[in-house]
Amino acid sequence: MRNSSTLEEVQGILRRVIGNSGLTVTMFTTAPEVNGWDSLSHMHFIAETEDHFGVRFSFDEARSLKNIGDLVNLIDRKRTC
Amino acid sequence: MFFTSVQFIGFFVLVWICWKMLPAWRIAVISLASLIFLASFGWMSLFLAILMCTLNFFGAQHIGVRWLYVCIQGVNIAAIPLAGYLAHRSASFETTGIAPLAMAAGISFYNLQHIAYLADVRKTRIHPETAYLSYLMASVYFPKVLSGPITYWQEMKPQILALSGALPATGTGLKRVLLGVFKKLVLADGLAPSVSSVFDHNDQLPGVTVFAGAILFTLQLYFDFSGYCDMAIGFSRLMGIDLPENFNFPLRSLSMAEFWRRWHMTLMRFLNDYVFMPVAFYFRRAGKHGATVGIVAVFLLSAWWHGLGVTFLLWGISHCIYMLAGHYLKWKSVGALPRVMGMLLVFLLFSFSNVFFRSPDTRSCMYKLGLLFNGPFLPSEWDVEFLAPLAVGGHQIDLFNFYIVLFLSVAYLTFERRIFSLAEREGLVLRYVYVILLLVVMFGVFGSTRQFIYMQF
Repeated sequence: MRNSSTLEEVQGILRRVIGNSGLTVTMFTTAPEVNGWDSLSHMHFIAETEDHFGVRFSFDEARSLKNIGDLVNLIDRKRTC
Repeated sequence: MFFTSVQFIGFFVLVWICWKMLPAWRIAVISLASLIFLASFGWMSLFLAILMCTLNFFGAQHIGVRWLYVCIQGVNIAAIPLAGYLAHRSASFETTGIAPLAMAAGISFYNLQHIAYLADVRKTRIHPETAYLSYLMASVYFPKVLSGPITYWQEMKPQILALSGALPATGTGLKRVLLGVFKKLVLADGLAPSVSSVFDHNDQLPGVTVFAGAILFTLQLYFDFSGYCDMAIGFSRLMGIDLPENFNFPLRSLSMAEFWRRWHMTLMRFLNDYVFMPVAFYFRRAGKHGATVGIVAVFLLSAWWHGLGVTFLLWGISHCIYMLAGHYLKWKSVGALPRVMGMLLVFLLFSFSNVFFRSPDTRSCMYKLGLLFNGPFLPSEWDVEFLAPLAVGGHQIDLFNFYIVLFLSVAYLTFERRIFSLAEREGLVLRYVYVILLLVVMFGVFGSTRQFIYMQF
């Protein structure tokens, strides 16, 4: 249950960062599938996510994310710690 | 010993026979062959390659010692411009016989692999390698040691471990080699005299001739470097090892950001992984400006990697400007324009930056810019001031050769996806092989020892 609410919030942040209000993502969505989510906007998105959830990622954590699901799981893990 | 020389063909056949006959000794065979290949560029090249490999291999075993890590990475980084300087010096001593000693072939390429390896071991992303010969082979592997593609240890290791049972991809390997030979001998070397005529002499030319020279150089550079990479990938496939692609039809890009995802992809992958991402992460709270710092760092370092001169710095700055304009104006692609106009715009912007890249020195570069912007742009006599310099001479036969190479270049660019997919199709595809061979025999530039452009970096 927690996953799905985190996913919705992450989707909202990504919509804001890349300027696409109609964007829908799933746990399996990857950056190349989303128009505008490139390496230039990725770190901005990471920073916004950190601020929104009040968590901090290390560089290797941010670097190793393969899809939205990885990010959602990482956020949930950090918040339960 | 260049890929297109008879000596290299003989050398490769010999290595391939040993590779085939001694499956259990393939790592040793390829390592030894790579060292012999490097030695053909001078003992200094061989010595430096072994030194850098040994330093990094043993450095990684003691990665916990911070000062040692910093020193070795310092040497890795410092050796890149130093090698460029030595190569530049050696060029001026061409007639003295000192040149072979002063060369450090491939160092700016294999050192990037060392830098990535050491950084990854330090960050505990990978374990340090314990087999010296495997690491040596990965760093001096002869198909890619001179000019890439730049590989990571992680992508070479599994292939090296499986080498004794590897099967050669003979059909696709040979076809990629042939494609590379065609691009180099027919297209790149065919265009070279026209480019040299514009850039290597300070003649009073109209702006349009200089711009045409820059466009022709862009084509020459693409055919030369991607042709080299086709050959590297092809030769490597014949020995059962897949090298990463370095080009993905970059001249079809619709934005500069897309262009840099498709041109010299392995260098950009390295710069993205080890420069852009850490810098952008560090400055991530700065929003869009965080990426700006990363872009500037990437293109200034890319310029520095190509050479220490002012011309390369100007080239790097021009690409910073292109990228930042795209970043801030949200010019992700030229959506409002027809696709062909978008491609043309990216091509022209890249060609303009190549005026800096190709000019032999700052003075000559400034002179060319003066011709472009201050002198008359259109010639008073097209035959004398436009065609004659580009066709190098302007006689009937020169014009014929110039038109032929121009026609083949445009034809190749038009059908490059189809030609590439034929090269990548399983099997030999005999009609492809015949056509390419025919074109090489009919229009190839033989007899000159023109080296690959990226060998100077």
